[in-house]
Amino acid sequence: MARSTRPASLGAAVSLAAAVVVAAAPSPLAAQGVEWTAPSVRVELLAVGAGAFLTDGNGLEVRAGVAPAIGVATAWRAGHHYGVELFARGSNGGVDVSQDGAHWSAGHTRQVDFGAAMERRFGDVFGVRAGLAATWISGPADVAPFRFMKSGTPHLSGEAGGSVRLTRRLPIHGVIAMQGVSYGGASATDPAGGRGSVMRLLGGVRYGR
Amino acid sequence: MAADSRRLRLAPRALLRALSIAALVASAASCDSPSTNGPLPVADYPVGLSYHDPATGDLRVFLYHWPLGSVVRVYADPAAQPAGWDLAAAVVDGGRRWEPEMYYREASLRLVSSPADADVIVHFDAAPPLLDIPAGCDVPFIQAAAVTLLCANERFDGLATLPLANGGAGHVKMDVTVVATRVADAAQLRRVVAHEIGHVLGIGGHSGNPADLMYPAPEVDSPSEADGRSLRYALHAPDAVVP
Repeated sequence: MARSTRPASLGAAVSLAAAVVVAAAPSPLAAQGVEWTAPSVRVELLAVGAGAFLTDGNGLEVRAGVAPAIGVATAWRAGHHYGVELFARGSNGGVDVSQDGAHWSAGHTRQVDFGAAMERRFGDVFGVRAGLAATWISGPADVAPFRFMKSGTPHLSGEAGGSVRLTRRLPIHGVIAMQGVSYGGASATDPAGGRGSVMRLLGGVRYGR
Repeated sequence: MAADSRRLRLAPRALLRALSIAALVASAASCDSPSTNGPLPVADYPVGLSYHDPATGDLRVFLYHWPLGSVVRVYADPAAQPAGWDLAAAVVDGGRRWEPEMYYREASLRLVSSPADADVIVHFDAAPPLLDIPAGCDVPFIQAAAVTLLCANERFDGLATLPLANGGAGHVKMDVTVVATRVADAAQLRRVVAHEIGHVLGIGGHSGNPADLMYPAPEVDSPSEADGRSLRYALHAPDAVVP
């Protein structure tokens, strides 16, 4: 019964991420004579709230509870306004199941993202960013939708968000982002092959320029 | 040798009539339920027990399951256990065989060492009784290798607690009796107990297919796909009674 029609292979996802970097970086900025800075390291500590992995016709929902996440990134700035980053992020949280007012725990889920993003700064305080990533999701092997998904298969995810610098003395930013992960299990009618997405809201702080 | 399940209430006459048509009613109920959307399919065979509503006389289907996500505590009574048999191991084995059929960890079994801690007691028929079964809720004579007993409360909206024979209150909701003389060997014991655990988890009926574990005289050791679908239906039926 377990099958996957997800076309997002690792190769495809990485290609998309690379395309973002290429598109963001060179030509217009180079034409204007913008210089790239040396890479800087960023560290993020986040809290993640996720939508349902699966909702079935009985009203049963499988979702991840609020989970901590940590991310690291290497960022390059191009002039005053633009930048790109390569990031890795991981989170680990509980799997909660609910139906008809009953709630119970069904193990843990982990998510790892490897991706690239481009950033636009507005002065020294505000910034917005958008990115793509290859995302791996794992969960308890006996619980749907994880039991129907091939472990190790990456999924395509996209995210957009913003940041605000919290202090002038240190490069500490408040960050928030919305992420959508293409994940077949979001459809209960066909947990393995059905197309769907899992939405996640991430918020926290980032250290680094 | 058949394994069997009975739901009894304080009205034996109505009970006998209800059981005789239980299959027909439960099957009809499972076909038009809105709960069949998603990965929770239509039950392949009747999963409910039927009864006559004492107020109206109408025939109704009685579906039951444990609170979702709960751990069901089982006491396996070693008394009167034939040599070479292991009732506790059979219970554990049966629970493990059903676990893969539950997609959301709706229930799991855990052995406990005292009847006072148990939700379910499993025992051989020759063992001294651990429960004081109320009148009208007792087990009828049947030609079966095992019987799972559960009693609806007066309002048919929950399961009655079966009091302990030693006077303690306890919280036992189900009693499983294995008739040792009707079980051929240890292998059949595991099969019969696995079948009864299907009843314990929420399947009140039987399959007509010998390939299913819930066939009255089980010939297989593990739940079939049909057994799994039927259990998932029972576990998520919106009108099921929760103890």
